[in-house]
Amino acid sequence: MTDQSAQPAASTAESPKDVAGRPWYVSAILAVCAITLVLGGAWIFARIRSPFPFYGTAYDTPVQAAAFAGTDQDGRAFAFSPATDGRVTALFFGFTHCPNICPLSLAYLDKVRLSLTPAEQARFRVLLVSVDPARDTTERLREYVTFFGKAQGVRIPEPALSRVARDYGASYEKADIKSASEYQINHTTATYLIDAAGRLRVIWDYTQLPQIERVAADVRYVLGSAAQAGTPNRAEPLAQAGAHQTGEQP
Amino acid sequence: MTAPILPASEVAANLNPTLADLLALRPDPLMLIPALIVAALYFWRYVQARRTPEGRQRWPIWKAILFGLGMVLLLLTTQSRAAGLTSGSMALYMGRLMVLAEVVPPLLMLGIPWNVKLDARRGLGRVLGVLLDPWVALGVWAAVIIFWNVPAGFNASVVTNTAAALLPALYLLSSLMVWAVVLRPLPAVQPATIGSRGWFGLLAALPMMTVGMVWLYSPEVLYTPYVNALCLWNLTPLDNQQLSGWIMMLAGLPALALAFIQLFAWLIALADGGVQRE
Repeated sequence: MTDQSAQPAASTAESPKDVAGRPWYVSAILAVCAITLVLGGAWIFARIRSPFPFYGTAYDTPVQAAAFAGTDQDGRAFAFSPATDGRVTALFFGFTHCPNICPLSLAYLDKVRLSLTPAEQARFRVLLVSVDPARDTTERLREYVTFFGKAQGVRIPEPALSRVARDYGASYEKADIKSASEYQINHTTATYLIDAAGRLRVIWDYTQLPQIERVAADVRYVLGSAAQAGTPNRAEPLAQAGAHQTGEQP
Repeated sequence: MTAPILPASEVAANLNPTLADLLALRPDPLMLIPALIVAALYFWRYVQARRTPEGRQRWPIWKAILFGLGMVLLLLTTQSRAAGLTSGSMALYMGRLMVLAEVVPPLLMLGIPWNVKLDARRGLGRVLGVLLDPWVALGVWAAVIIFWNVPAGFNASVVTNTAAALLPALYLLSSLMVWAVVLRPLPAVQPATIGSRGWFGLLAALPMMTVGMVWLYSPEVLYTPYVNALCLWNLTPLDNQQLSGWIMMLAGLPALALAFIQLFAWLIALADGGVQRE
C-alpha cells in the first residue's frame, strides 16, 4: 500500500464517482470513451486479421488440413487430398448409430448446401468420417448419408482412423457398452470447414449448425476467398476446379 | 471466451504436458520487447535512485524485488509454450490470464517507488490522471471481462476469436489500471480516499466473480471453441470450464479481501472521526 495517511472523516463520504478530482459526469464520459476505444480497437484488430466476421470459430492462422484415405459409401477407395480438387469441404466425425447429433449435423449441413447457388453447391461437399468402422459398413453408410442429402461417407479402419482424428483434434471413445455390437460412441462434434486450398478455416460446433444462414455465409465467404488466399502448396487455381468436380479421387 | 486456435496436431502431440513442457521458452516479440524495455527503464532508474540516501529511502530494495518478480511472472506467462496450448485447456487459458490480471499487476504496482513527482495538470501526470480515474479503470476492466467472457458478446462477433491475440495484453493493462486505483501508487494524480478505493475494489471484483460463478455452476460448456477441444490432462471440456470458474474466483479473492479491508479501515476512520467531533 502506498497510501500515506488516512483522510479526514469529512472526506470519507466520497464515493468512487467523485474521487478523481473531476466532476462525476466528466469521469463517466471519459469511461465511455475508453470503453469505445478498447472495443473499437479490438474490432479493428479482428477485421485486420480476418476481414470477414466468421460465425464459426475461425482459425487464427489457417493450417493445412490432413490428408487421409479410406473407403467411400459405394465401396470405392477414397482419398481426401486437400487442395487437389478445388472444392470446399465441411468435414465431421460421426457414426450411423448416433441417435441425435450426427443426423442433425448432416441434416443442417445439407440445408446449408441447398441454400447455396448451384454453382456454389458444385464446389462444396460434406464429408462424414465414421468413428465406428466396425459397425458402419459401406452399405449402412450409403443408406445413412443418402437419407440426409448428398453427403459422402468415409470409412477408415483402425488404427488409421485414430491418427486421422488426432490430426483434426477430434476424439471418440466407446460408451454404454452392452455387447460387442451394442454400444454408443462419445465423440467431439465439430464440423471443420476446409477451403479449396486445403486449409482449415473455421470450426462450427453442432449447436451452431441450426443457424443455416450464418453457416452458409461462412461457406460462401470461404468459397469466394479461396482464390485470393494464395498458399505455396495449393495444387491448382480455383478457376480450374470445375474440371475436378465430379467423381472421387481413385 | 476467445481461445486462439492452434493446429490440432500441435495440441494432440502431447496431451499430458508437464510443468517443464509448459514453461519451455517460446518467445513472443510483441510482449517480450515492451516488457524488456519497461524492466530496463525501471532498473536503470532504480540504480540511479539508490545513489542518494533520499533515493534509497523512497525506493527500498523490496520494491525492486516485487517488481522483478512481477516481470519474471509476466515473461513466464507470455513467453512460454503454455501460451500455445491454451486451445486444449480452458483451465490453462484462464490460469494464464489470471496470473496476468491478478498476480502480475499488484506486484508491478507495489514496485513503484514512493513519492513519484508528477504534475496532475500536464503531460504524463494528466494522462495517468485520466487512465487511473476509477470510472475509466472500472469501465475498461468490466468491458474486457464482459465482452470476452459472456457467450452472447462472443457470438455477436463484436469480439471474435480473431481478436484473441489481444486478450493477454488487455487483461494485463486493464488490470494494471484497476490495481493502480486500489493500491494508489501515484497519490499526486490519484486523489482517492481509502473508502472510495474499497468501494471501487468491491465493484471491480463483481464482474469476474459473476463470470466465475456462472462457469462453476453451468451444466453445459458455454463456449463453442471449447465444446470440441481435445483437452489436455484427460479433462472434459465441462471439467475445464468448472476448473476455470474456480481459478477465476480464487484469483479474485485477494482483491476482494483487500477491498473489504479498505472498507473496514474507512469505517473505522469514519467512526473515529465521529468520536472526535463529539
